[in-house]
Amino acid sequence: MSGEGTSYAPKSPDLSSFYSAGPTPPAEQQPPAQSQQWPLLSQQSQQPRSHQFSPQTHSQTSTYFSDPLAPTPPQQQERHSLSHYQYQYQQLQQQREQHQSEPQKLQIVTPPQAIDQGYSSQSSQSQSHPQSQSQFQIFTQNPTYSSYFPRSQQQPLQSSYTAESPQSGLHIPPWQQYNASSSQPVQQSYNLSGYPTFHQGGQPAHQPEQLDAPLPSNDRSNKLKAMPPRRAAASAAQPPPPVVEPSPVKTKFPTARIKRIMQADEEVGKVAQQTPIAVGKALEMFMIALVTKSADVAREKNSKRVSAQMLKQVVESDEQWDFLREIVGKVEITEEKAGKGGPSKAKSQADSEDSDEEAVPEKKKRGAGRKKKV
Amino acid sequence: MTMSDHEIGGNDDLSLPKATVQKIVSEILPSSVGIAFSKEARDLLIECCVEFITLVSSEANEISEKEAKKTIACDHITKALVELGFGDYVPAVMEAAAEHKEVQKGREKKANKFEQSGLTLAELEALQAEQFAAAAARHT
Repeated sequence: MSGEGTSYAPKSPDLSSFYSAGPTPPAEQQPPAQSQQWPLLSQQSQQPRSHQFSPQTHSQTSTYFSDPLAPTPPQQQERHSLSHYQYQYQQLQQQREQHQSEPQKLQIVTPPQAIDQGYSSQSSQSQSHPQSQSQFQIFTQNPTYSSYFPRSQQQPLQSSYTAESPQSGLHIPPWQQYNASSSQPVQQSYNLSGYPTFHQGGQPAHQPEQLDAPLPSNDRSNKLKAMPPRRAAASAAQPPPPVVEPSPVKTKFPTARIKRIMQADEEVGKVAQQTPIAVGKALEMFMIALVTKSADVAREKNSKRVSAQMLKQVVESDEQWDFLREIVGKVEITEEKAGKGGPSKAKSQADSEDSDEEAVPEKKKRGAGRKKKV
Repeated sequence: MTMSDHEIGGNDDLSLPKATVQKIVSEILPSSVGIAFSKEARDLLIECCVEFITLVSSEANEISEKEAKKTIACDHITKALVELGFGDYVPAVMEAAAEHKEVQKGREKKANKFEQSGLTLAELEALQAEQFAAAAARHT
């Protein structure tokens, strides 16, 4: 055990040091690959996983299984509430049962990387990279884990992984390879932090609903609740992660357009100068309410994309939106009849369209709509 | 405004610019949230927005008429919002209107433009650099 540890540790920058804190370093098979440059991991990832694990490693499973969990809990608590951790732990155990054939100790290895990975995969889709990075640094700050990841290794590790992650649906990153149940624990830890799930790869039977159960709600408020302790843990040295602002609307509607819409009503006569601005602000808040609620509905339905139906559902959920019922009813019908892409298409294209939509509005500014300000 | 004849994108002038709406939607739901609006939902949202404007201005118009005013003022908008059950919007609306008034009074057109652009100075500078580059490219 210890003999292996000492001989092993110098070779492997990340895992070996991780193990050295735990009871025993694994077999020698892993280190050579791990100790090499990080970019090489991508190549390594194509190797069959069994290659990375020797029977020797496996035989030590029991020690790993019981022991490394000890360092893990406090760290988990730091970031989530205790109940979160407990739940995560439960989930992990469930995973273990499902994946008994796989070396269990590896799941224990999972947390730091899994979470890091979860965030990275998010960032690959959604540009919240700094967040994931800071999350990662939390680990390195943690005394237990700082030894696992020598600073010099951190950045390469992060970046090389992130570079690979976007298309990782099929291509399994090295981390997932040696993390026994790979994407599943990852997803859990990810979900527990309150973020919606978007895992690229085929995630199996695992349903986010399971995760919703122990949490009061899986929406923003929950996320916000989950954040503070984590940030507190990050504290001093960490740069504050870019957080989602509650009301981040900076774009203003063209007041001339608003005025024109107002005055399209024949009854409406003169309009004071700031009136369209006031209406524009009200409109902004109206949109925030509708959009946020629609997003909540989408989240409940485990969808990445708000469909017209979801918006309709929101409108019909509150009598405050009564005046919109006719509109949502009408559009729903025309959409289905005329087949204007339809909501089903919207759902199926969720992934591919994501990036386009973001980019389009900038380019597509309609000259006709914009150029004339009255 | 006749609802029946305004199809999605039917009358551009009496609708809202899709790009702007999309941009605001993405500001409300930044990509990190991981949820985006489908085109259909966005178009529906635009219709809802137009209806909202119509509703508010119609209500405000009635209020102004009752007050024997010929011009719809901010005051009428806020009263209309309260009347229609959107009273919680009022403080922000008043603030926005007050801000605008300040800007108007100062005749700080640059500042006004700056604020209305909704961009930070850095963003504007980046935009300017981009446009300069584009212009330069055109002339080479």
